Amino acid sequence: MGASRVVREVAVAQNDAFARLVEEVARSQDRAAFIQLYDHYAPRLNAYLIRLGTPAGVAEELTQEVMVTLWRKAALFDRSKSSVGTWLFRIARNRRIDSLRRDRLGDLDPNEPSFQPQDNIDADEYLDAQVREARVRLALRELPEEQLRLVELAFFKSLSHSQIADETGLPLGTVKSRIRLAFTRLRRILEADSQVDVD
Amino acid sequence: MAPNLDQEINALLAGYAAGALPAPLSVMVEAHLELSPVNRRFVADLEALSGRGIEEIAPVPVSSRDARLAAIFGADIAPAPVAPRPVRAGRLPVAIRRFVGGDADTLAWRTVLPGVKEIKLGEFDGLKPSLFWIRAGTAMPAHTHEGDEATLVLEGGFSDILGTYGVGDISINDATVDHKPVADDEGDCIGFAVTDAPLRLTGRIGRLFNPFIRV
Repeated sequence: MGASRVVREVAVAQNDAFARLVEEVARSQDRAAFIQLYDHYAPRLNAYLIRLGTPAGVAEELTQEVMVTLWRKAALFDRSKSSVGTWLFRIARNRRIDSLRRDRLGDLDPNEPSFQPQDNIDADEYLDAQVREARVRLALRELPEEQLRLVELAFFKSLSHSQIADETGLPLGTVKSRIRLAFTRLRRILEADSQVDVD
Repeated sequence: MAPNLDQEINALLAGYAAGALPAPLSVMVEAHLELSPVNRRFVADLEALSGRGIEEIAPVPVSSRDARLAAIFGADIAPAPVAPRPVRAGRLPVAIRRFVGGDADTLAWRTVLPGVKEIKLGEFDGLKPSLFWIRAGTAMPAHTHEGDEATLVLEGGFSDILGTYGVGDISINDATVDHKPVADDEGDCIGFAVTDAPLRLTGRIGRLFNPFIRV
């Protein structure tokens, strides 16, 4: 698929560069490599957490925790499984939950096995991270324009349903049902696509 | 009438992959993914999108950048050895143990009825998570909900008017469902439930199944 290759190659160069830096940190605790990653990702994770409604000071602390994890656990990163952005996104998502539960339920024993930082559950079958990203982008293009817009508002802008209703002028109930339909349709496209890939 | 369950679950998974779910639902989806493989691929696909979203978001600088870097380098925290992949060494999924701070056999359960124990965990992001433990064959009293309820089966299984649920299955009910779960006869049923916090309800539209809500 020619289009797939084009989409893929755009993302590859950037993903590769950051993956290499993480691997440098893992291999030799390379501070210069870490600083590059810090300067790129810390402000972005901070922005993501703020967008979710995390108070600014808390967002910075969580961002710092993610960066500490990156420094200490770089060896857990596997470029074949995810991009650096996706890996850090997952860690940030877990850190936010840890911090909420810590506020309400107290500290966990950091040596408790379940508290060890972990990557997400892997998808069952091996699928190269860049191939995955490219096929999702292609699947998005198959969505009708209106559904694509809703998916993008939810995903890339992390807007809530009511914010999306404000932004689009659609009634809230309509936004909810259209988003359900959009993701169900996206899933069908992705599943159909994967059947083609296997052949 | 409950909305189409597949569609609800797809939206729930999407909210998880976007990192936008309220904390208790995020824990529920993560535990679901541990227990059941069927939705892992879809979530991993969407998470690739979230990673791209991180790259494309407008950055917000962190304060005291130099001091924060120095803290990381100066803390004498050696890079940790590579941990083995997480294994489910306990009875409950890792995501649940991590959130609750213990495993089924070590937690302080409260008996609410003969054969029914529970642990209420408080309120997070406007939602109330709890664990329940129903003895095999026991029926919960019939109840409706003021808001919505999502339930993940962690052990055993149960049935209600809408269907039969086994380990890893998520059941979703809204206020219209007269809900009377009965634990399977084969063994006790342990589950993780998340309900709306009624005091925070803001209107007739249930908030739980807006997967992108924030408080």
